[in-house]
Amino acid sequence: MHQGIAFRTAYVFTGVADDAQEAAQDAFVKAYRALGRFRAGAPFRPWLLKIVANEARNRRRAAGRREGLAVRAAASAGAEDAAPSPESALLSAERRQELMAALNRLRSEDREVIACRYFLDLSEEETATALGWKRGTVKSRLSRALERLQAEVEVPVA
Amino acid sequence: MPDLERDLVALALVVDLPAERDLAPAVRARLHKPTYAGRWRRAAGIAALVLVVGLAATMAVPDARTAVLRFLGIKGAVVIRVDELPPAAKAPAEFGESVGIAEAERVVGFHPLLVGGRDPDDVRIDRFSPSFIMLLYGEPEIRLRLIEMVGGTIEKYALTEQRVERVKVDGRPGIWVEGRHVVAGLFGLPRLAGNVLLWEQDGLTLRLEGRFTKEQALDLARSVR
Repeated sequence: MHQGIAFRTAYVFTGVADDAQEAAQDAFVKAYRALGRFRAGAPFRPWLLKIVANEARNRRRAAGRREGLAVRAAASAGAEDAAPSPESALLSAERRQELMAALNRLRSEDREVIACRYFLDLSEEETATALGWKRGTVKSRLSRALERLQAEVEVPVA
Repeated sequence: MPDLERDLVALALVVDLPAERDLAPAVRARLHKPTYAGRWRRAAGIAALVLVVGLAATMAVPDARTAVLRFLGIKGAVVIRVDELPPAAKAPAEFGESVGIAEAERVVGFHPLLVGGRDPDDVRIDRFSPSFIMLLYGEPEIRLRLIEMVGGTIEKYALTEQRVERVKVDGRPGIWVEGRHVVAGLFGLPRLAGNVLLWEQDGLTLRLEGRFTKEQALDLARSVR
């Protein structure tokens, strides 16, 4: 039920699929052991994602990496011999490359909040718990991250 | 900026997030190491984890798989199979402050659905937890309780041998729990409950409790509007 979102959330913070898998597994085990502390009536998913994100960040730190997710297109997207996909109608290949390059130039905190909201489609509450922020902070930090992304997009590539 | 946000939404369709992996075997292996105290918590925890990890499709025991699969898919309620019921308080089944229906609606912020469109005999709310409303019909000994909830999660612990099944209420997903079980997550301490029908309707999670059969409960649920 929450397996997919847990794994993808972990991936946003580790940037490495194997590490994300390990982190998500650790998180589920920890969640089980902490079930007694889960506040009855509270939404379960944000609580779980907070544990997932913590595990993933710890794993990234332990591996000595500062950066998590590196944004790139899936192998199937943009393959020259592939049939035109619905998403290609929404976003040109050029714009896609431009955005991904700009995202990868952002600091990891900006990239993570954008990934949580736009790639993982997490709610503000879930994003806040995953990132360890207050809920009200998500909106302002996301707004600033988008401004920086916009500025990066507008920077001419040398 | 709207263009940027629109493009990010489109980018999400093509960005490389690795395919979902099956976390079940490793998690299950680690959980089955005998390091946990408390039979019911262990069973409940594993069942809950099975639920949340989505392991159901890979479970080895057919009966257990069937049971777990029954519980998936209802918003705002989860039923966890256990070998032994967790401790439950002898709390009254009715809670909160008795108010008029208009006041209840003002506090909870949604329009209560009514059984058979009929006004209840009593309405209860908890001002500290304004996401629930309880509608009471009939006298205490033959009382019908309809709880309506927006947000949050109702947890139910039922014995593995109990009748718990997925049902439809006019096509909407629901769960029927027959017999004594423990409910938590509604208000206060976990408490014992009897026959209950849970279902989703109009963005709410509804919980109907009373001395009725499944068929009677479904008839009543279909009349809720």
